[in-house]
Amino acid sequence: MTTVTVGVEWINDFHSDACSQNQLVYMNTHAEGFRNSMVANGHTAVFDWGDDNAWETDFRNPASGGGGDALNWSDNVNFCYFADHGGNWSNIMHIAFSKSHNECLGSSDTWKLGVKDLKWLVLDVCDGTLDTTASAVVDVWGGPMQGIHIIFTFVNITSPWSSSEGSDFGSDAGSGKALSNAWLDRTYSSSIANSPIAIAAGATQDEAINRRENETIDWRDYSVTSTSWLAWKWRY
Amino acid sequence: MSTIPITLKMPELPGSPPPIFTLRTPRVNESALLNLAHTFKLKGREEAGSISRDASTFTYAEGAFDLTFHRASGAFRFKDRNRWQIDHRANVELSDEDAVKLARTYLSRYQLLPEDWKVLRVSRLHVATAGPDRKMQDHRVIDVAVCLQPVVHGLPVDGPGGKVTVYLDHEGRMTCLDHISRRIGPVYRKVTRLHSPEHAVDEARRTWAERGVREVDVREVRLCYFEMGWNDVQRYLQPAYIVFATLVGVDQRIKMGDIYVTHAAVNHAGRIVPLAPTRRVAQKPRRAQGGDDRPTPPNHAG
Repeated sequence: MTTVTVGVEWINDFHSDACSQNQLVYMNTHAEGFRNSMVANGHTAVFDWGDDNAWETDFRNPASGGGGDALNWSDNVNFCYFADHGGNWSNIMHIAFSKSHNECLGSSDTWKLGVKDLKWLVLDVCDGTLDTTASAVVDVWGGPMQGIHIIFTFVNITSPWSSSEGSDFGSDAGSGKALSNAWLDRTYSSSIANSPIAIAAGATQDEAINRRENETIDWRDYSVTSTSWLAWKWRY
Repeated sequence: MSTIPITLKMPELPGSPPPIFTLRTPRVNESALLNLAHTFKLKGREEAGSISRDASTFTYAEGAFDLTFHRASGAFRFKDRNRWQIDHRANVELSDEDAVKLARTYLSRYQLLPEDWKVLRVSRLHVATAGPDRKMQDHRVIDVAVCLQPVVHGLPVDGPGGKVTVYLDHEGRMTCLDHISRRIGPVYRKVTRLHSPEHAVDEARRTWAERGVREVDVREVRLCYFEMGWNDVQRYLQPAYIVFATLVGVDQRIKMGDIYVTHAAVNHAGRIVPLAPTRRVAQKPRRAQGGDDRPTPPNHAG
């Protein structure tokens, strides 16, 4: 099986300052559970940044200024898992950081996901999309997806119901199961009626669908040459 | 945190308090796994398939079918690898009602229909695409999942467990069955009195206040029997409140769902949820950006 590199970031503790948000509980468990499961399957952990060590610049592309350092971090690994608060407005995804380095909010209009090594990104946050219409998906993700294969996130609000979601998904992903189906299976709950979603890119409709349905980590080197099409899958 | 305004309807308390039950220790071994395989009309012999094991499960594979048994809970999943979650370019057009009827038929056939039950939710697995014109195309439903929850002593069972889910494809065929519903034993303890739902919300409020949460929207409070997840050992089935809330951030635009679970019985038995994961030791401050303190990744073609 192909070996992939993994990086995780998570935030539980925010401070009473300009970056203040509500405290979270399970985010380290989700992100590090994912990392541990991947490592248990033979993959390589590269970074694990939590709380104040998780920085907005780790996702910002250098072309967007502001100290963007994504090419050394999120886009320097194949699989990145980010667990935290999220919000989505003005067709821009935002993720919250506890320390302003260099902003309190990361904004998807400063991201170029996949220009280097990043193939798969988990945004274990709320509001990865606001709904499942084409405008909600394409207008937010069509721009930032620049070579990345699949984004895994949630439609609207979700609730961390179990501490094992990250490790469960990591077990499936790391052992070569189809990635989108694994995400939907491991994170959906009938009790909370959340809505996980996987968004795959492709140069053609068939390629995007093929990735959505069948891609595993063995597809690491099958590059997305353009994000002309998106194919998404969600349970609700 | 200021007082939470409660505008939603609280659950009604039953006339007599529901008791706490003992849960039977699940018998999970390879022999039980093969016996269970017979329920699903598999041959259920090692010569006809194969058994794999890991720390938490046994799986019997025969043809396209996998039957996975969870050691801690006795929960199991029976799935058709070639059909569950697979897009055959068809569209499921079953109504909720028809899907529930079909699910009930399958569960009756396998003698897995709970004695008393209610529908928790009917969900659908959707797919869609969009191209350069940014218009949705090929939106279809590729399965419908009917989730039933057992009802015990008049209370539904809820939580990560306490459910039986049947997945149906466009031809109404079952593609997967999840059964996470522990076997109930004798009454362990009569419940003298139930706390009020307002008591549960108040407990939740204190917990949120300790976490520095400033604004909360309580969406729903459920009174139920609480069942844990696939890989949790559980000894008692007891009444619980589940408080579903949305935590609202300082600038109102960042929100997060939150779930608070607490005992409903005044004389409850032990823990109701698994022990919380240990808080990690704080990381050492990160030194610099630009990869200064980045471990060297291995060479890879990415």
